[in-house]
Amino acid sequence: MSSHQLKRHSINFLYYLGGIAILLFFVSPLLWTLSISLKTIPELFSRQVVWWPANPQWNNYVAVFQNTNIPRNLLNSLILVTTSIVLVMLIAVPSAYGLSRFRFKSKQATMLLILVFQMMSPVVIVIPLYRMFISLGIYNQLWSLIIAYAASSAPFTVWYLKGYFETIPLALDEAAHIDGASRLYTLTRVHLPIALPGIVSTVVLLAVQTWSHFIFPSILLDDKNLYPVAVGLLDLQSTSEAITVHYLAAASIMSVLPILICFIVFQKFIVSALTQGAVKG
Amino acid sequence: MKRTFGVLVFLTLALGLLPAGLMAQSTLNWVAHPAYSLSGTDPKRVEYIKKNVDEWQAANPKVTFTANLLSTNAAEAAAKMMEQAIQGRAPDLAQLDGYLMPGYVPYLQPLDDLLKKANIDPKDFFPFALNAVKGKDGKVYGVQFTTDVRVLYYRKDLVPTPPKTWDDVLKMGADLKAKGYDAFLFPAGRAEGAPNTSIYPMFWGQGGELVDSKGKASFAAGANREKLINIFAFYKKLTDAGITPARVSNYGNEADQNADVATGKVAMFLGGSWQVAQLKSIIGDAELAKWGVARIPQKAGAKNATSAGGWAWGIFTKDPAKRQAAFDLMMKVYAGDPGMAGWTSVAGYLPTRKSVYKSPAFASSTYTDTFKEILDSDGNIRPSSPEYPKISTELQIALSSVVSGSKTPEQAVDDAWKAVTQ
Amino acid sequence: MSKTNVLSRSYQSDGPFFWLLPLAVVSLGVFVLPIIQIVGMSFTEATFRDPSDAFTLASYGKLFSNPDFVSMLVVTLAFVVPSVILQVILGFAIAMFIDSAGDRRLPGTMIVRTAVLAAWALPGVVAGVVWKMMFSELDNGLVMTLVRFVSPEAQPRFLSSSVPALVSCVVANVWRGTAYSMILIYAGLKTFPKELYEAAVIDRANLWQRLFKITIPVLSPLLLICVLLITVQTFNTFDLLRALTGGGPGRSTEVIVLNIYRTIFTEFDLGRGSATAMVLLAINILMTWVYFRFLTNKEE
Repeated sequence: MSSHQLKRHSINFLYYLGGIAILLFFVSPLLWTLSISLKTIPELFSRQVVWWPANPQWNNYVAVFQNTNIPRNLLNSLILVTTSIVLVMLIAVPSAYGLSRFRFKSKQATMLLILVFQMMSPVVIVIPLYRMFISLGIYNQLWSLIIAYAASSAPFTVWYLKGYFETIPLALDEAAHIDGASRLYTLTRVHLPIALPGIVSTVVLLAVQTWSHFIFPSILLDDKNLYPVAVGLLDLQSTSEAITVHYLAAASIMSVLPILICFIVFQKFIVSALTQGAVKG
Repeated sequence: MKRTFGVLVFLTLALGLLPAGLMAQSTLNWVAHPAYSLSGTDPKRVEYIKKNVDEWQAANPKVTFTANLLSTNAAEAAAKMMEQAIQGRAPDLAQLDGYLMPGYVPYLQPLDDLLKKANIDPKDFFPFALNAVKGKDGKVYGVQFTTDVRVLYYRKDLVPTPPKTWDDVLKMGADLKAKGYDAFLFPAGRAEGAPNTSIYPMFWGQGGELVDSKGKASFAAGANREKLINIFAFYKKLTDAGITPARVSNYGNEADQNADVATGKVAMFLGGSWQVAQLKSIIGDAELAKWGVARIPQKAGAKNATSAGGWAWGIFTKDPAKRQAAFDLMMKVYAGDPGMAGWTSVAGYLPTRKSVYKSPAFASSTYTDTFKEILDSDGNIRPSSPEYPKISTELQIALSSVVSGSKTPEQAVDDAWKAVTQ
Repeated sequence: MSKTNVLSRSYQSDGPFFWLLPLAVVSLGVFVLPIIQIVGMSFTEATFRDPSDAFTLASYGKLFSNPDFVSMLVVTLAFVVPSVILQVILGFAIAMFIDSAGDRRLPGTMIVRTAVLAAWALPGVVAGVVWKMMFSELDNGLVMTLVRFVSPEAQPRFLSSSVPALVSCVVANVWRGTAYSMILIYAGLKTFPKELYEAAVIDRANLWQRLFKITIPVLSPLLLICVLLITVQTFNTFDLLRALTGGGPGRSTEVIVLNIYRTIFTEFDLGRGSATAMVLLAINILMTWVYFRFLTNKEE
């Protein structure tokens, strides 16, 4: 083996070491949760650490599925995420187009305002929003929550897509205009196809964000049957009433699984979309 | 051809829907804590509720119900329920925290006539359970259907005679600590269980008052301040000496100690009566048999006192038919003669009516008599003053700060007082 | 035919009004009106039970004279500053690692990348729940077991003492948040002009010199964006902390967002909760303004 090869091998070895360290830090909490979710009650409370249950209790998952609201919560999350993303696109695409293709006096101020909305904590606005929803009679409904989700994601989406649209040369617009195409036509047939990676990466970011929304649903909904999974599973946190740690762990795993599967299946696509989109961050 | 087919489909659909329309279904909106509902995690409880609800449904075919759940975070659940009651959107039948009942009374329906019809004598209830649901007009606005009591749990093999005073605890604790035990645990985190178990019994024992006669905070006014500081100073001594492990500063609820108990290293802890059922499922009968229960240790010279809690049902609906159906439902499952005996037995709570303790259907544990005795003589409930939520939160923070070592007892009490009264 | 006419006229009119209309409507409803209301509420002493709306400065008075106000700000900073620094450094390191491991075509790079992203895909509440299990102070806790592996007699406190509890919160937050900065920086590295390195290799610059003289300066605008975005996110972190410590022990991990939530939902004090929310709003606006100035400067 030449010294050059030796050097390369030892560097590769260091890489593997680093990779394993990163992997351990990021994966071990999830594996530990998986282990807890499969334990029996005595194993949960055993004196010695139980790395992995002797006889994994897949029944815990069955129990969560049959006895708790978690399946419905998962379905609610799915509905909330998909519909709110569609809605936010309907709101944000025209606005992003407007901001990238027009020059107007208050543009800077508008951009600043959008950014302020994007950075605002939901805790600040949720109480007045709750009262407003009640006075309008639209509290406790999935569809009104979808509007709130969409509105709260809109500033971020507009900002993100605007950056993307700005990379599309104006010459394309001019050419389309000379051909007699309307703005709407130009947007849907020229801009959107080019901006597709940007849109995909926005969808990914939005999906992750909305999947984990907590404050909006926990305040704006009274009906637990409508809760998304991030809120619903907190009810499995141990209360004075019952021992639920293993169910909580099982529900946690169930709540991550859909997103995780998406990530693994679309891994290549998502990463390239994310990295392409992120440049404009 | 196509058209006739369409008409046929329409007719079948219409006829299919007709019976439902004729029956004039009304829907009862029923809100319960998850552990008291059909969506609980304990199969035994769910089975019991399901069986009784089905029987109720068979007797009330015209009423359907929609079940909903309270937040398991009691404070949040109360905030939302109050908001709903004020806005007139409260559910028809709701599970309410017993001590908070006076706040809901203006929005609840009186139940005296229904209780009478059901042959239930209000005097059968423990006085504190009845007082909580009584309005200023003397009417009964709810039915408290479970109760519980805070006690000292001790390992009989390690602690031959349970400590009566704080000095006893310190002395025995030091010995047990030297032998490697977690000698004395109590909840000291940020949830309602902590002040309710670890502060109020000892505060009331010294004659302290959380609020004055007008409902204003008085927990650190005048002589009360000293009484509160005494308690915190006692706990500080325990943690400083290692008799109590500091991790209890994260235990907001009594049940958070269960995991510790399961390790077999705990000698004594302050807990709630319902933990017997939980411990049974965690450590089994043989281990549980090692444990005894006794009154919570008090400062030398103080009287015995403890805190009682529990849940009540309240009926918000004004519709007479629905009111009756809701009443029947809560009686059937939780509060009637067989109902209360059945529910408290399956779930491990204490009945609120004295006659139920004698019922053959009530499965008493070896501890029940002691619980009942302590409840009867020492039971107090928390005040339902509008200022109470703030008092409770600040006391949780104070206790947790002292036990985790970030504040002195005096500092903690004075900060809490300032935060509530400024 | 007529449709095209309308559209083409609006093309000429040169106003973005209709394009921005949907955004304006939802923003008005979900942001503008609630903010006006919360500003109004902060000047009252309203509670859940007593919706009084008399104008008063009492809520601000109570807030600023509260002995715990300053400590709350200190706790918030003690949570935010290390979280941001660690997330950026770790995100940077992992991005570099994955980028160069990818260049070397090492197998398994994808697994590492997915693992980092998985932590980020976890809802904040779940992350809090998961780390609470990790940090159990009982003998059978995972982190406890690992610590005892090194030092068998140790009695570490992860969540029951002020400073360790804060450290635990930072660890959990960094675990969850690193993926975000990793993605941003990874994207920057992907478009990095690698020929700069080639020049450096000829100059025989070592690894550190390359890092500090080339990579970081070139990426510095991106890093700044990253810092600002993460800072705002960390200020707004709520669900993770609520599930992990709930603000305890005492108030030692009660950051400003948790404080607002507690004031409103467990003490029912809308007035003071709103006043505290105004403080958070001011912080959010200030951070946004800095970010905005930075972005527009860059464009010019």
